[in-house]
Amino acid sequence: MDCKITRSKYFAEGMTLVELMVAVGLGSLVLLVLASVTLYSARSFSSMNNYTKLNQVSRRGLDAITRELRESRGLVSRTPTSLVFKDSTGTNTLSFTWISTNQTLIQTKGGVNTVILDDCVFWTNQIFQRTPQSNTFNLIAASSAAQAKVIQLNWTCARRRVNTTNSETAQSMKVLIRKTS
Amino acid sequence: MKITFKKEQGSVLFATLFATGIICMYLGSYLWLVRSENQLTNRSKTWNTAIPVAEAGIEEAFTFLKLKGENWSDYGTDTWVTNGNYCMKTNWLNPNEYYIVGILKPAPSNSPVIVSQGFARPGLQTNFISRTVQVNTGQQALFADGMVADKSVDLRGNNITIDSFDSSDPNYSSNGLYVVSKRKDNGVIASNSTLSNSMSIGNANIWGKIATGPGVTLPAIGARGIVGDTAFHSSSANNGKIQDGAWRDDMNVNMDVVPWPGSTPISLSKSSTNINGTNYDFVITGTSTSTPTDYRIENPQKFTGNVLIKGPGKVRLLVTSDVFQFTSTDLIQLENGASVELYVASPTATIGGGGLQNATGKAENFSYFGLESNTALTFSGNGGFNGCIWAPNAEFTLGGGGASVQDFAGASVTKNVTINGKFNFHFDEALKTRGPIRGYIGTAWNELTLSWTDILAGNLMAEDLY
Repeated sequence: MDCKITRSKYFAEGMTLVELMVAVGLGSLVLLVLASVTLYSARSFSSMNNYTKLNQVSRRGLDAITRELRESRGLVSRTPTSLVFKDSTGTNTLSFTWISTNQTLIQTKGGVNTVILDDCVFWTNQIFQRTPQSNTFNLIAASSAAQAKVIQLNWTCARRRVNTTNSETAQSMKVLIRKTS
Repeated sequence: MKITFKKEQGSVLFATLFATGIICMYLGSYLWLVRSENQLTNRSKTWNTAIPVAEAGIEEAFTFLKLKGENWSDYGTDTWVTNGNYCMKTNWLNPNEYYIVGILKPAPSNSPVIVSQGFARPGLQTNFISRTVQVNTGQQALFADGMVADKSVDLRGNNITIDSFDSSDPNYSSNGLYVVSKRKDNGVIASNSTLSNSMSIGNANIWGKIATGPGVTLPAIGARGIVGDTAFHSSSANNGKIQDGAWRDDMNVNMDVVPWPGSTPISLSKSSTNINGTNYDFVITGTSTSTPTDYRIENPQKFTGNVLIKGPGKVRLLVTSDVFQFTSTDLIQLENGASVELYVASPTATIGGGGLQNATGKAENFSYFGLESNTALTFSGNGGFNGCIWAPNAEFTLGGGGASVQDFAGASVTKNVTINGKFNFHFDEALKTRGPIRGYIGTAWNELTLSWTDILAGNLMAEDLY
């Protein structure tokens, strides 16, 4: 007996126009969604990366500044963009200077400059004397550098991403100068 | 026989799985980034928390030093463990924070060193982060400035001079006594008050500085008054001026009454004892140079007349009688080699006439402590004074010196001060080092890379850490 291999007469090859159009439409929609998700995710990642970097820089800066200020021996002079201290030995100076054009905060200790913060778009300082206001925990502003016992620093770091600016209003800190000469 | 092929379609499932995989990868990356950031921030926060924890230990050590002083034999108490050269304590603030603090015994003539290691643990973790702080201490003098008032300072009249000297340094004193040719310019007048006009300088000549509470405006000064250092005083053009930097407005000092520290004192009665031709109503003797002898004068006795305080030891005298009055013919005489601490509960104390004759010449040998009920202390007449006064509840008045200018050498801390002209106040700077102390303060603060484990393993001493 001969065996004949046949195909079902209902097997169809190719697609009809309608099927094609529906498939293309649905496929486009899916690809559009995928593309949007990819694009959005990439931008979110970039933003997240920005914030993470800014956070890390601010955190490192905070840790470095607090350690130096606590051990300093008193404030020598102050301007809106710089603070000069006697360092822990009492003989050399320690200074923090914000350069607005470079957006950097630079520490100078023993003649050596170190960038503490970059992408720093705003930096300000206040000084307080050791006496609190009556019945509060607030401190009284110092009228001179010699009276300064508490230093408050506020800064904002910002980094651009494509055409958008991510900003991190990172830190506001008060540091007590532990020892005065 | 017919063999049919059934066509299987799986592309939709594959596409779905692929898309889901991509989304999960993105989501997982996000979450990992957020987790890492959270861990880093948490660690930084915990690292910063370790310092306040360490400082809690430092505060406890200071309290312990204030209670025990440098009585090392008494250190193994109140949960502190002593081991010869240091004593230590571990204290848990909460399940995630604790400190190990120790006081290291110093070499002779140095002060103790405190080392505190603070431990903090980030949430959901088992390991602790620690930071170690070393604080060198120093004794805080009870009399660190010249003339200090809790409320007001009123310098009236003319011929008032405030300056300083050093009875322990022959470059700035003569046999321990003040001489004008060796004066220094560290005389300080200070007031805690934040009220305007709480300090009135008038025409006083102040070789030194003034200090007021915060918010006070620059005190007014008379046309013949002057405040500044020696160089500032050398120019007559500076009359009527306060030198730049000679005024501070951050004065804020606790002035608590010093309580009677002694045991049950020996009660004294007035008698008449003739010594070298002088009749004394009270002869009070200190018998030991190491342990003060405690006495008491109480009602109905009156603390008046001629008083002789004899050595060789220290006398502590508690005066609770209502009358504390020395007139123009009366005298309090401190013999050479003697020292006395007066604790006065009398409401009003008046020292006039010859005042106090301090044969030792050293202000630290005569201390006047006004207790709660002592609300007035007056020096009048033509008597000088060589001693130190701590009477935070008392109105302190230095009356006019009559025809001549009188000298007050030492230091004072009172509620108010009024000087009615013709008085020179000379702050004895030796009181900062040889006078009574009110506790310990930190003189240096450093963060160490060492831990207590390193200190113990290396058997490090206080002088190794200076």
